[in-house]
Amino acid sequence: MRAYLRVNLLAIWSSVLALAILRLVFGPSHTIVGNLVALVACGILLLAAELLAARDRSALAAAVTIVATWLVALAITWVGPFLAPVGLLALLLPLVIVADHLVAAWRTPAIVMTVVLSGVVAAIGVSQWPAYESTHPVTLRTVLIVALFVPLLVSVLVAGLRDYVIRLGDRTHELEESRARLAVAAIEARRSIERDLHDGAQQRLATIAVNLGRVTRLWDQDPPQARTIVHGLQDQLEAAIRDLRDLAHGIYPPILGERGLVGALPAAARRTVLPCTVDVQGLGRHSPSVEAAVYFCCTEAIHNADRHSGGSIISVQASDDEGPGRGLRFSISDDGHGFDPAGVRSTHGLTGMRDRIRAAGGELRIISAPGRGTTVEGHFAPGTRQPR
Amino acid sequence: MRVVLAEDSVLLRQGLVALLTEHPAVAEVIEAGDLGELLSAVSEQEPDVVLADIRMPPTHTDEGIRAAERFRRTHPKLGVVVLSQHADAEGALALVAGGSTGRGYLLKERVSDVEHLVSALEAVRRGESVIDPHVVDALMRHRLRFEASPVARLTGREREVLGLIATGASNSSIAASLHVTSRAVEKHINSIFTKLDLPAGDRTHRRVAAVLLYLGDSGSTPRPVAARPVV
Repeated sequence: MRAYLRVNLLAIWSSVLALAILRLVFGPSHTIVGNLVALVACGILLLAAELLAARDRSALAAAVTIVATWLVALAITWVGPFLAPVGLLALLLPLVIVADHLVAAWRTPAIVMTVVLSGVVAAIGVSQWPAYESTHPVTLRTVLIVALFVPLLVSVLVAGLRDYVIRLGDRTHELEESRARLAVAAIEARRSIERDLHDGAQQRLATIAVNLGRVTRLWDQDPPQARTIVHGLQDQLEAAIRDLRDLAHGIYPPILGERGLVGALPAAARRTVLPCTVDVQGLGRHSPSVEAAVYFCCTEAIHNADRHSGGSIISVQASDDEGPGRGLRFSISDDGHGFDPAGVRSTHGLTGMRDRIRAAGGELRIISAPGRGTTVEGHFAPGTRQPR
Repeated sequence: MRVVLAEDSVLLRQGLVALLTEHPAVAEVIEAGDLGELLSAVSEQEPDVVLADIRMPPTHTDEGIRAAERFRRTHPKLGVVVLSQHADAEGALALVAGGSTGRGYLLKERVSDVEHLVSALEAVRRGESVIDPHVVDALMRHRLRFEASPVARLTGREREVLGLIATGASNSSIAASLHVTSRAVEKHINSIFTKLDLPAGDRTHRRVAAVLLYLGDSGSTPRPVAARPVV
């Protein structure tokens, strides 16, 4: 959206400049002055939107952008009815490009308003035309204004649309890639469960079966030996049960379903070697998919910090966003040796974490620099559509 | 009987070594932890039989089967019993694909019954075949889901006999387990082989391969009876 805003700002202020030059060359004109006023107003509104966007208030910025475009579309059509078609196009564009930044509740009103205003713009164009024609006989000046002004506006529209299409293409490409990676990860997870079962519990149970066979044979021949084996069996059975429990817990920790992240994150933190602090104040329940994504991302980040960071402490924080909606922020930081995220081509684990969080509707950032530790930071914006 | 035992899990291997060594029919157990160790143990120690996990390092896939295939060329007299964790018949079919002489395929849980295990080792040592009944059952049940399958035309008793043939049982042991005479078993076997259009098998181990591969071949069986997934 900020790229769109910048293109818009550039085009608007260069239109202002062009009109100002026309005004100086051709002398006072009702049309030029009117257009200048409209464009300056729109430019100021867009500057405000840019400031809002810079402060992460993208929903409000989108709303301001849409209103600014409405104003300029109405104004330019009022002062120059020949610009009515461009005004109509201009009305539609911000809706297409910035609507996804709007809060869901504002989308429908914005769409309805755009449709209504398209009628208004067309009506203004038609009604102002005779008056305009009577006062503005077609001169070289009018032709020049049209020839300069229309391409300028259209270039804004085209640039915006092109940018939008490119971004959409990039996003689709990224989604396709992450979907493919998730599919691979799912298969990989199954394979690793099978391997864990095969190498762990299944092997232990087979060993128990072997030893039971021995006990059966030795029962009468060598009772002390049989007794020793039975004692061993008990340990082996306990180990098999422990293996299965650990594996089941790794597949889905029951506490996550029962008590959510508030219960599951402290439990995960107790399994580390390094000390790990957990702050889950102000954290509520979220949809199962979000909780699971956050949980497995946190456990992986905790594991990485524990094993590879070389630091002395890990801290985990998670809390709901303030204000309405069900936003959620979480972070895992360590004070280890860190790494250069640009230098490390996104590693398997980090990409996997990001894919998982994105699939659940969130965003993930990894902040690290050599010697400055690593922080993994995730955010689910309020009102994000969360898969159930 | 000298046995090479190839199993990568140390715990299970130790248990098996103890189990086999305690048995009077076993003279010596030589241990191997992966495919390489198995191959060198066989070429250096010249054992009578090999008891091998199907899945071992380096690839943890089908090392046991591949080793058995190789021994068919390098040590034709060597008996091989492969242990599998899975009831899938594919492993057994791959094992007998080049012939079932001196080949055994058992599920891992059978190791608790040392007599069963040792008798399987002795059977493959004699050149016979032993296939886990559970695997044969699964193949038979799968076959019977196809109404066009000739297996469905067999009588109940013939199906029982067919299942036992596939496990590698001899005529006399089939007769014993079904409480009928050897003559009756022979009659059943002839009838089965005619109905299934299989080459009349004189030797037990050839019969096993023929029957197993017949049961395992799903390409010639159109029209499943029910639309439920085939296991």
